[in-house]
Amino acid sequence: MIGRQDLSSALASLSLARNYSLSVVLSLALAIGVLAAMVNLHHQLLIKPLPYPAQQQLYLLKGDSLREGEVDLKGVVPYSAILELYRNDSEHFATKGLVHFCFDVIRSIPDQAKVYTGYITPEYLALLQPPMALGRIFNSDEGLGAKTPVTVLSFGAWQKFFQQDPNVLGKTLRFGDVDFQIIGVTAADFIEPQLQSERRATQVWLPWDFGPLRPDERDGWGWLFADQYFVGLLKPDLQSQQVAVQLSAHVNSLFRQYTRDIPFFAKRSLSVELVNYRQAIVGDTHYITLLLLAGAVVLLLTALISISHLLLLRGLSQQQYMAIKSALGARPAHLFNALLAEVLLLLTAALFFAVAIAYGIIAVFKSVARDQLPRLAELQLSWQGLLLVSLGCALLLGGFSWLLSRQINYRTLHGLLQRSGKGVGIQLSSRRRGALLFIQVVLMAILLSSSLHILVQSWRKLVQPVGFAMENVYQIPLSIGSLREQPIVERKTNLHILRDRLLLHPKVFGASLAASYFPTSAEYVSHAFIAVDKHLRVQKQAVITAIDSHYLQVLQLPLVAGRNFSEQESRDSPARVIVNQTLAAELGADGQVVGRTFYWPDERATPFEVIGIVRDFSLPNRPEESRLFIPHTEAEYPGLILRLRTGENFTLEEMNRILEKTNVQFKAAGIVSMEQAYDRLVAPQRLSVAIAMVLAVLALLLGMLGIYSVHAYSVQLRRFELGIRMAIGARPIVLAVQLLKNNGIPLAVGLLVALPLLVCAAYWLDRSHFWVIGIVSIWMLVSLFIIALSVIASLIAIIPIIGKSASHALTGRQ
Amino acid sequence: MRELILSMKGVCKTFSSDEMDIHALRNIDLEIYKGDFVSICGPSGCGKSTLLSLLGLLDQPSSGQYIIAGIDANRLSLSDAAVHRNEKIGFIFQSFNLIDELSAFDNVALPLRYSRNKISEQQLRLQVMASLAQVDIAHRAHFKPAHLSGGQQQRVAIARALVCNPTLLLVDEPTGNLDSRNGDRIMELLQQVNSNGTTLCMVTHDLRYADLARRQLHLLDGQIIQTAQQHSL
Repeated sequence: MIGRQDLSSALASLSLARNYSLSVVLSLALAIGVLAAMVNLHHQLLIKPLPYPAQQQLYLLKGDSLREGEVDLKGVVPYSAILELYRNDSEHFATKGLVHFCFDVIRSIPDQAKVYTGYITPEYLALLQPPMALGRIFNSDEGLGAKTPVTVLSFGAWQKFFQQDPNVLGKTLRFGDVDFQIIGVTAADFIEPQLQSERRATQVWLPWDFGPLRPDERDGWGWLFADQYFVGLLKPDLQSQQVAVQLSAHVNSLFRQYTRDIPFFAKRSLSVELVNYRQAIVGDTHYITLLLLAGAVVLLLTALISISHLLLLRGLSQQQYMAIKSALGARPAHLFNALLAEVLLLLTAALFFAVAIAYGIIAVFKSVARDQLPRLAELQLSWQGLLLVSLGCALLLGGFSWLLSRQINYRTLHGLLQRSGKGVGIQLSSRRRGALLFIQVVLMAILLSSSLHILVQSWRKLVQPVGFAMENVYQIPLSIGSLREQPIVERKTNLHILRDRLLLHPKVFGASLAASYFPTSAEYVSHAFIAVDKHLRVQKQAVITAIDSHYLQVLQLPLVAGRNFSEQESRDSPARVIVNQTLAAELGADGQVVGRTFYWPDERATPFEVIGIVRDFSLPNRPEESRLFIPHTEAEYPGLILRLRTGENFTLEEMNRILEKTNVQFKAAGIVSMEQAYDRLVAPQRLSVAIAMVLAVLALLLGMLGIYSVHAYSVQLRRFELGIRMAIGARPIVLAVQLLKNNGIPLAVGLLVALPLLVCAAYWLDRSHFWVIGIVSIWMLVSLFIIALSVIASLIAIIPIIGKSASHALTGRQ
Repeated sequence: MRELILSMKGVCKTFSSDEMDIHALRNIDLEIYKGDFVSICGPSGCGKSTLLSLLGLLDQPSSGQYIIAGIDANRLSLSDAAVHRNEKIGFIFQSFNLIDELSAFDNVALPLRYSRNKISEQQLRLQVMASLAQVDIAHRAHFKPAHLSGGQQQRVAIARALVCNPTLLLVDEPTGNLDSRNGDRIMELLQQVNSNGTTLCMVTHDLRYADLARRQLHLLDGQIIQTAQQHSL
């Protein structure tokens, strides 16, 4: 049992060894802090229950479109299908709801950028039972078909648009032509389930009836949507997989019934699955958290190995004192307690720093990874996580102290005291020395190689050219209000007038119309099917973008074959398309598709001609998709792409004034520079780079400390033996070379053992969509670095011994 | 005229610490000739082992002049001192100081391996075995020190000290860790080595063995207080 005397002696002793204490405390604090933060993150994402009642029974319906049994469009479901389930399924769900995630522009507050909207039935929020700052959520009278124009604001929207006005209830917000009365504000601590994306937080909740779908989209079974969901509280005695099979059968029979007359759907079917809220929210991010956790564990192991070497060095330097204590009657337990007291003091000091480090890491994560990882809003440093990690470390360090006390041969201590100064000392076998170096090298090689690998791969993706112009290019999604209800011709005319007006603006270098899908966007993507043959047997899928004749020029997107749309074609010729290289390769074996005719898979198999092929984009971490560019003849969700003159920019107010001159219904839903959009797109890569860099730096620091301490420890252990060798005539250079040779074997074996482990890890990561190529070259680089580091560390450790006369080594004098 | 192999004039050795200086040796004047058998006696802490360390170039004097084989020891680099030790000096320690993980053979072979004059493995083997045979321990050549008795270990240590045919053998309490029977045998061996022409300088507490030397130095508080000379054993 450690007494007060042990602790005060340990404190006094440590205060005389400040460098040692600082090295141990900082290494330990870093490792514990990082691991505690990662354990918390992992726990938050994968273990901690969602903050909703009956969260285990909350399910979301997701669907896939299949053609001849193969998925050809993932994550889509017809509006009619979810409405059917909402209305008529009484067998499986205790409560059911609908939600449609969208965005719009508030027209009652001037010059606001887009807000994220959620069109819901009352049950959606009722299932979550959100705490309210003001008012209430929707009630059953405001449900499907009631057409009651009411709205619930998020706490953020209340702050932003009404400055937390306590009298906001009863006021209105206008979307399109409708004024919605505010009936409630969710509390600040309400955390919306991020069912669609980590980047999206709904600001305004609106009744389902006011969703932006056209009547034909609502009625038809042929329209498939990815942003609308059926949600429900599954009855407790039911299995989600069985229910999903039953729902699939039901939905499919209706789907076939309602689409049997349309050739496009002839070979198509639907498949639905029920996804638990947690699974929907967390998705496959558990790979990332597992990776981070593994990195933190390896970091901790590296630190602990380094610290154990430092402890052993400390033990060696304390041998004389231990010998005196031993001579005075201290039993092995007393010596162990003295060591343990030092370790406990160091661990306590490290814990203080570790808490600060863990808090810092969590704060950084919440700020930089908010859009990349789910549930970060809930993330907090829990004392349980910290306690768990600390206990683990305490146990490991206690174990190390025990091992250390075992290393110190009690009998030898007596001899040491009796013969002090007469040329005796402790010798440690080369096998044990080699084992210590081997473990250190394996851990360092793995941690350093993997973090460098991630760093290099992420960095490469960050610096690769994207394939289109970004400088001075801005994307502006448009809200067209009630123009959506107007005939297509009127919308199209207004949009072309708007573009021509912008082209004459002195700030504008180029202007283009484009549908709401921009090159850097992953949201609101529209897909289309293209039939290769007239009988619609072979169909290809592509991301579709409606563009005008200026689009390629504004984005400086080069044509690799064929030509651009003429102005006339872009207004009136749906029978012409441009494809990207990927789609061209899919459509024809040789990719030479200019001038060839393909077909829309509609009832008449309408033909169209490919007139050009544009170069593929190279967006980070996103394999290039098949892209189809069609003329901007329809414009339901339009947008603008502007290339401004150098140094010029538009405010939202300025842009809205220009838009209003063309049509008062036009509103800019935001002005986002292509560089900003790109930044957002590459945020995951930047996060990877930052994490990998931090891990690499920490691994480097701890590894350097570890490599040095293992060499220093090894040399200290050999001090006496080196003295003997010097006494019998070994020259310093011979001893230095011999030391390097001795260390070479465990070093080489450690590096060789690390390689297959790294390859296995890379294989595992590759399967989880991480990068694997290049691990061997990184390993070679790291190996060279570790070898160089070992040589330097060995020389630094041995020079103080071989640089002095032999008697210093033999008698232990400094 | 006898050949002078080392001489010390006014040699001092001081160990400094933060608190104080310890004067281990003060104004040592000493000459040792080829074939001498010198014993150094004195109470604990009088500087015997320090003197032996200086003689063996394991350490350097704080002041004074030490000439060995015509070379000023103060001017020897660490590497040159090592070469000199390897070629001209043999060491025998009280606690044998064999390297635990090497066999008796490899322990004895070490000085040859460190030598600048490289010899073939076959010749090395012959030389090592001859050296082991000289001290009557060849039959234990492949034993590790842990498996040898104290007397056997000291024999291996003597073989190691002799393997390079040194001109000077420095011996620090060679019988300190041995019983009297083994001690006597070791001393017989050392006398035999000396009779073959090797200069012997031995630190000992044991007056019986000190008396075997032709010249006895008595140290007290770092100074030579008495020199006794015997003309025959």
